[in-house]
Amino acid sequence: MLAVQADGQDIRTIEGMAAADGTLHPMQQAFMENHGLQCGYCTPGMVMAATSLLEENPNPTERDVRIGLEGNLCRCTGYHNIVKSVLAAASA
Amino acid sequence: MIPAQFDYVRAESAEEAISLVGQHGDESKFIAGGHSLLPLMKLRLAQPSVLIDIGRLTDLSYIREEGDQIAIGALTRHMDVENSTLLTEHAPLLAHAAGHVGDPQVRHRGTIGGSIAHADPASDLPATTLAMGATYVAQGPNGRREIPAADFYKSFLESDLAADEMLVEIRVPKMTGAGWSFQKFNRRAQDWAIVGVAAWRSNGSSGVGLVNMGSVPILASSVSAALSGGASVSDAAEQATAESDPQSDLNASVEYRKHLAKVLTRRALEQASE
Repeated sequence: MLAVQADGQDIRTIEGMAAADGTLHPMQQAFMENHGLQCGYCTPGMVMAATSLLEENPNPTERDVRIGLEGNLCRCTGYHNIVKSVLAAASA
Repeated sequence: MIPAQFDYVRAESAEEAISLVGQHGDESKFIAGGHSLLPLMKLRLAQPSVLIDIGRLTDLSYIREEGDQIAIGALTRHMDVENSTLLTEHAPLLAHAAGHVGDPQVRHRGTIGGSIAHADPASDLPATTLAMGATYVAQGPNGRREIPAADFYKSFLESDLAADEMLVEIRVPKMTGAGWSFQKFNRRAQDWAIVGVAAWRSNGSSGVGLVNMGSVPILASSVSAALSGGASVSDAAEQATAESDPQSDLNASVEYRKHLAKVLTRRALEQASE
């Protein structure tokens, strides 16, 4: 989307996920604990999409998570640990 | 990947949007979710000089029951169509097809009106609403008019909308209890369909729409005619390509697309007949 289309709106990015004291957001923590990343390139998108997913559906099935992350490509993990991370964050 | 220069104005009402397009003329384009237009602008396949943002016309985001139809505001996002309890009950084919558009990011931003006005034969919702016998409502400087989906798609990315008209509503007939199926064949979840089929059956009637089988979304009337004449599902599915005129591209040859259309139509009719 164009930046101007977000005029006057709140925007949340990966930089705003951790608390001011550096405490990770539960989703970031879950990615860390479950080895949900390798090179890290796709991680901001994965974390943001997964956080949005849990806001809409706090108790997703594994299938819900896989569908919810569609369009976010990861070339290293094979997705397994990413899905595991999101499910862990959901039950945290 | 960088669009050409353009000016941007935001409309606060449908009337203002239509008056703006009147001022700026043919070189202006409406932008709603932007998920069809912006990719074209990045490739410079579209170079509008003025973008008229209608994305904040929230009074055009609704799904409501109107007699034997469901009326959907043009600015309704795919995610809201997908999750609508009203559509899930009365027009589950459309709700389900909306859940196959792009990926969740696209479905959060893209709108049903944007997808239909863009008139891309490879998009899911034009062919689906065509199969359902939808009516589109356009608003222009002289008021509103209704356009049957079957008369709307003129040629590749060209619709019956005049330059100073805006698509404001999509009306689909209620199909409560009808059998239905949406078959989308693609390589990656978020891709356009290589071929897609939207089909419904109810009390001897049927409708079949084909995605990406020509320069416009295709209504496979020969399939419905065959079914009405008593043909079996597999015989009727053999008629799937009678109205189509697909192109070859990186994903599929003409022959492969035609084969796929028949196979997917058979699967769709089998599912819709259960």
